[in-house]
This record gives sequence, C-alpha cells and structure tokens, in this order.
Amino acid sequence: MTDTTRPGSVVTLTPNPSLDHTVEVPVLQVGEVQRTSAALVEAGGKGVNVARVLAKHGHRTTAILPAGADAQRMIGLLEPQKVKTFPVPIAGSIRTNIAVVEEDGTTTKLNEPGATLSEQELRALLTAVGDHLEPRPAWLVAAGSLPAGVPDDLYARVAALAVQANVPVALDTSGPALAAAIGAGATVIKPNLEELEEILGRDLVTVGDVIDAGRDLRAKGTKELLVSMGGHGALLITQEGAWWAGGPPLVPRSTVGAGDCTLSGYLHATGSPDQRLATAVAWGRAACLLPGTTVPSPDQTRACADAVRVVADPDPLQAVKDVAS
Amino acid sequence: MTDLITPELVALDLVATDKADATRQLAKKLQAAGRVTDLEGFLADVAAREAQMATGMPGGIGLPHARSEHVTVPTLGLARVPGGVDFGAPDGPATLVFLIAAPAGGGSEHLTILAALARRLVRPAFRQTIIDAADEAAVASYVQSEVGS
Repeated sequence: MTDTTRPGSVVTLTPNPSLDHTVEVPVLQVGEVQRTSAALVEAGGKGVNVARVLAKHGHRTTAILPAGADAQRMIGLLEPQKVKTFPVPIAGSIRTNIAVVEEDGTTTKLNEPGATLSEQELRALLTAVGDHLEPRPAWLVAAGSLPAGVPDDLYARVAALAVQANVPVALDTSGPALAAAIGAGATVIKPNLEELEEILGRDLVTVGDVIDAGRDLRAKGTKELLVSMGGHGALLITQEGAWWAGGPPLVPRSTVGAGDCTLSGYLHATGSPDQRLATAVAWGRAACLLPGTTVPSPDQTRACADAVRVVADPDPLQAVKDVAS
Repeated sequence: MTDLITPELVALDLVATDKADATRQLAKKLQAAGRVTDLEGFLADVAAREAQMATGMPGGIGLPHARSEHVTVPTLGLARVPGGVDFGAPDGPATLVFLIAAPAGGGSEHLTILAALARRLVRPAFRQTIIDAADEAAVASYVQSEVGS
C-alpha cells in the first residue's frame, strides 16, 4: 500500500482527555505495596490518541479538548508530536488515568471520571468543533467517554454538525453516548464487540449477527461499522460487503490505545474497504507491541502489514471468535 | 507578511461600557490601520459570531472574533481593560480583550490564530506579561513573537 497523496487534515474531539500514567510490574499483587517502573506519562483520551498516531503518519491534526489550569501540560506533551492542541478552557482539571501493565501483558486500568463540564463549557466545545469544520478537514473524529455534566447526545450533535458541513465523521465511544449517536449520520463507528452488543441489546455470536447489526445501523444512518475484537481481529461491514481481517497471535505489551490506532489506520488508508480494514488491523497490532499508549511509527505499522490476512465475505454461520482459525 | 499585531492595534487603558463598546473601540483601531474596510459591516460579523456563543474565557479574557469580507489581512487587536467588561465568562469580567479579524476567504487562518492564542492564554505568564508591559510597542512585539510567527 502506498500513499500517493498528502494525508488529509484531521480534527479530533476528546470531551474527556486524560494524562495517562503507565507503570509496569512483573505481576500485580492486589492489597500489597509494589515498586513499579518509572511512570511513562502521555497525553491520553481516545481522540488525542487518534491525533497522535495520525500526526506521526503525516496528517495535520488538531485535537480539540476541554482543559483547565493544567492545559499547559497537555499542550506540552502534544506539541513535540506535531499535534496542535485546541484547548477549550474549563474550570475543572484534566483527569489522571493509571494503567498497570504486567509481564504477561495483562493491563489493569484505573480511570478517573474527569472534569464536570458546565452548560456554557459544553457550548464552547461545540462551537470550537463547528469552527474547525469550516475549512473542511478530511475527517472529524469524536472519541472517548463523556465527562459528567455532558448529555448523552453530545456525539449525535457533533455528528450532525459534521454532516451539515459535509465532513466525514468517525465516532468511537460506547454505551448511551454511542446509542444516542447511531441515527446521526456518522460515516463510521468503531465499537468493540461488547460495546456493539450493549447498544443493540443482543448477543452477537456469529459473523452473520454482526453483518445484520451493520445493516440495522445503516438503516438508521450510520454508514460503516468497524468492529474491533482484540486478538480476534476486526470486522468491517459496509454497504459493499463484509470483511474480516486479523493475524497470527501476538503477545501484547500494552493494549491501551490499540483500538484508537485501529480506527486511525482505517481513516489513514485509502482504497478499497478490504485494504482499509487490513491497514486498520495492522496499526492496531503495531500499537499492541508498544508500551503504554505509545503510538506506532510508519515503520512499525508497515512492519505489521504483512502478517495481516483479509477474508472477504466471511462465512455468516461462523462464530465471530473463530474466523481467525 | 504583515504583522498580526502592531502598536497601533493595542489599547492600554480602555474604558468600555459593555462588550459591544469594547469591540467597537478596538475595531476602530483596525479600521484606522486600514485592516478593516467597513466598520459597521465588520462589527455585524463579530456580533453574529458572538451571538452563537459568548467568547469570554476564564481568567478575565474576552475573545471576540470573526471571519469577515470587510477584513483585508489577518489581524489581532488587543485591549487592556483595567475596569473590566463583561464577555460572558463564568468567572467574571474580562480585563484583556483580543479581537481577531480574518479575511472571509482566509480558509483556516482565523482558526490558526485562535488556536495559537488559546494555547498561550492558558499560560498565566502570557497574560501577566501583557498586563505588565510598559507600552503599546512592548505588548505588540511580545504578542507578535508568541502568536504571530
């Protein structure tokens, strides 16, 4: 896969950003005092992660996020990574998340709820998004959990703004925020299998179940469905068809942010749906091999591309978790 | 390239009755500098933007801004308002007012200025340096060096 055109500019919205601390221990012992490796501190939040990895792959990226007195910390972490921060000032502070990674890759995440946004701060955030849609970026990505005080329909409103401005929009969130947004006309959503089951209120056992889910979502206005399944690869359901992609088992160093890289790969890739899915999976795999939420470089994502296998029209009767075999 | 801000675009001790008045006084400076061609037309564009969403920010900042066909070059006007003027921020009146004016066809230029300013305004030292600056020239050269390049 080669890039023949300059990667497009991407604007991301992260309503609930974080300062992510990652520490490594051999085995986590609950209730004990343990020494950890020195904490790796990174700018976090799903939209921020997407901006970071896309910036590393040549995209001009702007990360819109609410930030209080600690905004400078976030800006300082993102600036060297060529991500332009657009802080929307709030009274609260950016939350701290802690990920504990064990030797075997098991990751325990402790996430703070984050700042509470006032009605006025929320409007300022939406206005910032609206302003950034005017120059018509290649993508608007709205991702992550919603902070307290923000109504569930935030992503629905964001998607509606993007549709109105004729800007493709990708959503990566879960629960009520995702459920409220499926009718808003998003170009692509990227839930994992559990998140998709939750919003649909039914179990998705077979590939056919996921294909049906994609058809249902399309009828409601969401065009493409990218379902990440961790070690079981990913499924893509669009109007043109269904594809599965995955690769041989790997030992993850940290799965934090891997889903964000999967979505980023999908947005970065141009070409046919199967190529875009293959790129998505390769980027997610590359992210798993790196500690914390460190994002992969073009060399690292390219190195993972060869191991990825794509299956067009996977058997609908097959269990989703068996397509890999 | 024309500087974003020059000493003529800075007001050190502005007294304003409200945000419309503060904006008008700053806009007149932009007009005098030849950067705004039609004062009333430009003010209407700023008011339209302000009506969508108050531009007051925490920390005593007012940030009226607009893309407008009445603007010739990207411009930043700045006023210190020691008595304060309400820009709708939750924590009180604005004592620093930045007026961002960008040409209508400027694409994302006005966002670039807005973003550069937003990133610096969260830094208390940036605001303090402007408040402590001795004269218009000192304010203009500092802000130009931080935001304009």
